[in-house]
Amino acid sequence: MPPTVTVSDSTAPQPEPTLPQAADLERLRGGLRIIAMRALGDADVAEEAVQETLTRALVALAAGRLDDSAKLAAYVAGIARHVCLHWLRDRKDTVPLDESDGPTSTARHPQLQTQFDPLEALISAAESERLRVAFRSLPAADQRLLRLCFHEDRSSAEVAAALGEPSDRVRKRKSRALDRLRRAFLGSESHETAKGGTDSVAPPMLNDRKTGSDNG
Amino acid sequence: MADPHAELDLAQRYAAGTLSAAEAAAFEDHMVGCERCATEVRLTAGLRRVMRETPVALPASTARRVRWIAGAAMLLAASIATFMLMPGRRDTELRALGSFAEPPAFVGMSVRALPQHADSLFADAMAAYVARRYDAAAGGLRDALTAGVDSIPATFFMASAELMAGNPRVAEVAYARVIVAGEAAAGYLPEAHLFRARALLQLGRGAEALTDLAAVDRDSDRGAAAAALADSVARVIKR
Repeated sequence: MPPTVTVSDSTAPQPEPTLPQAADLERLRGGLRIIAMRALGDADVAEEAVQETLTRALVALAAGRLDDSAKLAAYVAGIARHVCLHWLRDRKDTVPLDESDGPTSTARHPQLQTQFDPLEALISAAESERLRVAFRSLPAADQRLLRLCFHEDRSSAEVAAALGEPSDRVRKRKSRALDRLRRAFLGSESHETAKGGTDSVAPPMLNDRKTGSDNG
Repeated sequence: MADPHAELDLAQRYAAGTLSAAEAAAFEDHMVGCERCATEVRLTAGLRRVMRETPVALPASTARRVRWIAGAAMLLAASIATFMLMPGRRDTELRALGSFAEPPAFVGMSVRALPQHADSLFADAMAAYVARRYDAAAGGLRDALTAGVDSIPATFFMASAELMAGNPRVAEVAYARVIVAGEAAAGYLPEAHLFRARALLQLGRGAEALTDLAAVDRDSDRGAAAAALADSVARVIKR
């Protein structure tokens, strides 16, 4: 039987590189929402910024401005940062600091009023509740470990020192505890097989957020 | 971003706001296309919220020990209170009146047409303030002031960050600086007086707190809160 020889015919028409489509952009929406929410602190404004970003990205893609489709995410993230920056700079009307013709109490500018971590608005009530239950079910020692990491923002070395345990053991305990919380956060699905992910982000729980600072 | 542990660590630091601007931008470039990292950011944000709202749990053995000690301490305190006059209690009540949950709101501001270095420092510090990292916010606002940022808002929020970080002594002095600016700080005066009063109450200085509360414009949105607090403070002092 003669050997099979494959010959590459350079004159044959090559398949066109597939350009990113609207559906590829749509998959980035969840991540874009995080960027916009973190930068702008307001769910409605962030949603507008995400929409503006996707529109600009679509126009840019149609005009062939992206050479390498592997860089789509970074390209669109850059557009999102640009959109957010412009939005923030355009809010000059919120800062009459140089005017002396009236009070400028911060409470009079609700557009960007954020008292809590803006990213919390991206967590649905169900996710939050599952996380709360899972956190409370952890052993007290693991709760303390996670508090040191996430609430007090201590470094791994500082956490190990505070707990008087070797860094390796602390890292493993943290990893195990986070696995449990991650599974709870995502429902019954494991992290690797989760579907929907950021695209399945529930509408922002605006009613859960305290946007004022009424201290009574 | 090949190392999954590095990814998760970055996601956690991103959500906590502890990455530099350049690191955060690089992470965002990756995260937008990475469902796993985006989920990790949201998980971290959710976790921080849950921790803020969940009381600290003690290990069972510690909890038993604490209950025993607390019981003994209550008995001892009751005995001591029988033989002592009440000024200590008055201070405690004043301090309780000075406690509060929410700091002054930061609503975002764009001070100059073109961003300056000092403005960037201010923006970073206020991001920490919004994220409730008050120590970082106070330090950042000091840097911004040194770099020449508009001093009134920076001083006001530095005072607020110090107060939230548990430093009422530093806070009341900083609020006083805002108050001294008078008309130039008109928009901040009601809150500066109110929160300075709260700082003073935390220090047990009720009479001085009353002076600040009396200075809050009754027509301002802080007027009613100041009047109610002044009434409570006056009652405690009169006892």
